[in-house]
Amino acid sequence: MVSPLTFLRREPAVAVAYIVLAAIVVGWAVSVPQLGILAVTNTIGQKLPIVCVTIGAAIVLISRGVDLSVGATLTLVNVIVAKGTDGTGAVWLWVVIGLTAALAAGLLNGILVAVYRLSPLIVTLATSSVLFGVALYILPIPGGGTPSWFTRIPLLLVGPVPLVALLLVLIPVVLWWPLKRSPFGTALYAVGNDEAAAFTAGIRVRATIASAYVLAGFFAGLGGVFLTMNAGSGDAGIGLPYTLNSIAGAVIGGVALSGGRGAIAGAVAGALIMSFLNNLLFALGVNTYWQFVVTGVLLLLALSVPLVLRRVPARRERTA
Amino acid sequence: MTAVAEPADVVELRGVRKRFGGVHALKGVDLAVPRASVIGLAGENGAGKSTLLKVLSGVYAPDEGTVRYAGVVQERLVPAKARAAGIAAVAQELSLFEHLDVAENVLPVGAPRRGPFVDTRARDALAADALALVGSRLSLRTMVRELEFADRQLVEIARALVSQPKLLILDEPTSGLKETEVERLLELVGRLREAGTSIVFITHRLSEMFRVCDRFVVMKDGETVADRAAADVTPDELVRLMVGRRIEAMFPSKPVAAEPREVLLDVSGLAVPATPISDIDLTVARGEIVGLAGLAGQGQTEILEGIAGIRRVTGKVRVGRAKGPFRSPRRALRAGVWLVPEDRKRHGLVLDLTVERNLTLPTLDRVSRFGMVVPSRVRARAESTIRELSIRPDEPELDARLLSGGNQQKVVIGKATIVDPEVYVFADPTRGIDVGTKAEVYALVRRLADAGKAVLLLSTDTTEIIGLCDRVLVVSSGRVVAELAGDDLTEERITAASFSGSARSA
Amino acid sequence: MTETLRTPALARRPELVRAVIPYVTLAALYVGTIVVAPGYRAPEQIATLLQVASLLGIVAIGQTLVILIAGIDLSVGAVVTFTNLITGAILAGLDVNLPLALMASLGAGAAVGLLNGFVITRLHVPDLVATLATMTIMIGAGYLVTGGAPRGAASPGLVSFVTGRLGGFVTGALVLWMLLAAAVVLILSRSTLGRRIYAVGLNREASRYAGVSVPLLTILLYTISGMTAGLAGFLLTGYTGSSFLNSGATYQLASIAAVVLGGASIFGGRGSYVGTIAGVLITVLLQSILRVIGIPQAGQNIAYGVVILLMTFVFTTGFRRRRRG
Repeated sequence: MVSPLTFLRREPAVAVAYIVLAAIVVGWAVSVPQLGILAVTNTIGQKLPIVCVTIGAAIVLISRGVDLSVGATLTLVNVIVAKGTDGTGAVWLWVVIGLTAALAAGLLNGILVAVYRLSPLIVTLATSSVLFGVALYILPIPGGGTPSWFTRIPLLLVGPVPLVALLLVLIPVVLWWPLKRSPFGTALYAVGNDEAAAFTAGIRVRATIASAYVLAGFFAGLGGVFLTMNAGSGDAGIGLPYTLNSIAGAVIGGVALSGGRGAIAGAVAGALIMSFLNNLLFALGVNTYWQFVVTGVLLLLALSVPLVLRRVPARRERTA
Repeated sequence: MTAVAEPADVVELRGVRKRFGGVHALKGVDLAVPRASVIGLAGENGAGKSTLLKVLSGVYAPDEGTVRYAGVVQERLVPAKARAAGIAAVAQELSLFEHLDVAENVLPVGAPRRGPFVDTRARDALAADALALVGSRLSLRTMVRELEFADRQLVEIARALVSQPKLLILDEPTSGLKETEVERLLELVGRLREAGTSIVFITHRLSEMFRVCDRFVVMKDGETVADRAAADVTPDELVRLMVGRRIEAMFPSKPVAAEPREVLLDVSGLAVPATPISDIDLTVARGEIVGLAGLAGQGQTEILEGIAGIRRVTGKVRVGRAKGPFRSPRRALRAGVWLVPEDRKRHGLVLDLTVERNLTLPTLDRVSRFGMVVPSRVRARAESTIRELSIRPDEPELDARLLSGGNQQKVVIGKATIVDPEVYVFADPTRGIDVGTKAEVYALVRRLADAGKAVLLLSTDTTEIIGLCDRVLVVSSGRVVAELAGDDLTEERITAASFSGSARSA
Repeated sequence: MTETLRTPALARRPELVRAVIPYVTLAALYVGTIVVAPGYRAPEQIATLLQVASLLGIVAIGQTLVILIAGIDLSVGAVVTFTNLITGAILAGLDVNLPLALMASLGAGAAVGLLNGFVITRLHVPDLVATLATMTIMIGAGYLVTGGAPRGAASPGLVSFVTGRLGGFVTGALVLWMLLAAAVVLILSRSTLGRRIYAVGLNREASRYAGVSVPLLTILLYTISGMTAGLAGFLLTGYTGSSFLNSGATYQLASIAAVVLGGASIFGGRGSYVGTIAGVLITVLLQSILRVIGIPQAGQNIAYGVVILLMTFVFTTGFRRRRRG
């Protein structure tokens, strides 16, 4: 087990990300007129979908791939749950159906990329189009509905702490961390570093890559479920910005686009940074259209940082 | 010739054939690897050694013939089966994971588990043991990206050892190691043999082979041409079996030192950021072949890349009348200096382009008019270069990928001769090519010098650098520590100089 | 001794196949369409398709170049939208403003392309993310510039250039596309620039060692991509008569589809604009068929994705089998 200090030294981006996040959150907190528990819970609840999607995107990035269909998967699940539940009240049934669809989408991506060796960029761009099409077919006009108790879930409190805040921590810890410590975790990073070397070392490369996409589908679908809880209805156009934002969040959090390095903890921070930044801008009265520009510029800045860091020569360690 | 196979053989190949497109890499090879033996696999590149190794380790499945592990014929061979049979291979190109630590690299797969998780403590223990075997004192948590080449080689070998293989295949395992590390590795090979492991060993350094091997298997053009006990062969004979040429005849004669000629390359105070290179001075005059020697990993390649404009360096570089350092290969070209790079597959050639397109890529402006390429000029230039350098097959429209290593190297050199700089810079030009082509390259380099060019040449092969160069500069700890010529130019003096300066902590 | 291998044809054949398959597909698709909907034989129908194809074809010029050096430009759609918006605003229905509008469009496109090129070469940001970022920035810019409410209109001159038929068939935009296409084909197949592009696409590092200025080439090609997108947005204003938010959004996926369907490898170094032309026509025909058959937007999205996957599949696995044999 790597000590926290070693971890941070290897991936300084994570520490930086959390520091930046703290600064932004503080900035936001002082800019908002009233900061009651309801406002905080609401705000955090809004973050769950993007955090989930970003985790999924990050997993694929680590494997040296990219998943441009995460936004579409999120949309599909949102639409399935909203439309399916509408009137029937059997929300959890449709959540299961939606997540299954998400897993299937991930599996499709995974097989095409891992087994047939097609370019992840093209594959996920294409499946994104297909999934958005399917979502549009299911729900041509925004609508559908979920029972009110379902939409109240993100507002629940566990003692003094909002449930959503707990979820923000629990989701990565419970769903990702065990995977990271398992052989799959090492395999994922190894494949992302050097696929050929992983193969000769005996790692089951195809299964590892395919699993990454399945996981991305799952997390994106999970994000879709939380989104439906927040929104209470479905909208086939809702997921469009999620794809870029998830990649941006992962990168800002230190996940390398070239694969093989980065931490999910960082990706979570990155997603929160971008999201809270929008909150901050809103609280400061900045035109919401600036969001787009800010997101883009922020992403570019985040990507230039490793360049600056690389100019600092690495320390060399030969002996224990 | 057939090898007599005993039932206890770890691996046995019989009649193995393998082709890639039109190239027959293996034409019916028989090989038996008995228990507890060290076999030296000798042969030029293009002889089929690497292919053979890949068949042994399951990476390639043979088109024809049988592969037996412990007497059992293997169908549908994959690396996993070879691994299961106790075969571990260390390839020439290292396959480590940059952003994982040493322990994870030694045991990327098959690490001990505790429930669904990896038991990191147990894994670390196993990794530490394997590292100790190869004599490495690396910290387990070091990221491989921070390691130098020699350390990486040791980690790779440790990875092979940790599975306690029955057969260990080593392809050029000593290329980056220091003398002490080479010693330790050779001792390890001996100990492994005593413990019952078999080893198949490839190296271009004959002295190493003769130290540890029981037997030599010589390959030539995809076939085994000899299978002899080590005691029955001398180094000269071995080379002759590989090629049919005696070692001494390889190097062209050096001209007698004439009166000092015009200095074409003048380097002073050269430093390469992020490397040990801190202060290099050197000059190369017209008609001279100057060698750069020294321990591998001292940054010699980076010096050459800096001179030729590929890498950013500081200091002064003068080529003829042009003042550097040059910030791009194109500027270097205009100044009159050109690099023939070390890595022909990644840097020297665009493998998916044809031979003629590769040859004319740097000099497109000379075979074009108003920005439009003139195909007849391209063809003419390519054909004349192919003829001059005896590139085989003499097919300008062949994809460079399909040529053998030696011929690919000739194309890389051909590119340079078309550029026709005043100063040629060669980075290890004969690495991994067969003895026959090596001799051709030596003759070519001498011809270039005789024609009035200045040649700066880096080589990791001491025999080569002594045989070919008029003057040799030894680089150690970031500076030129010795300049040897004439009678001083001996292997002992080079080695001694390589160790001077502040020693690397070992 | 190895015998001399007679392989000139073999070395060239994969590239030929790559260029031919898209046309075969196009022909098959067209024939199939005519069988089901004979109306597609009418010159009017063909002319309309060509009209739409001109715009996509121009955008696809830039995309082809960028994909050939193993890059990708995801910002083209946003640039088309942006230049569409500013063209409408600048023209305000008056021909006299045409030069200004054209220069602004080309300038904006070039600026975005330069930014992309700079970010990719200087900041070493991968093209995928860099162009996604600039895309987002341009979407925002479009909103900011118009305040969310597009205004202005195309001028009569522009409208007739893009939609007016000479001889009942040919539009000014089509002629422009063909001229540009000829130039691109010539450059790619015969010029030193073209050779360098293919070399870089196949092996960036080796090309650098061989003296090719990769950063310069990259910046040049992304700038061209931005400019072709800018030009298309300008012409789009003439086609639709005014400007709309997100008017150019479909060009992102459509241009990539056209290039991929045209046989270019997404990994760079393989393909040609000749193939892309076929890819453009396939894409445009497909869109039209789906609309006519009455399959709604949803169906189009699905069909798009499926077709791209299919073609990529054919090209990727088909060529791998050939290489191994």
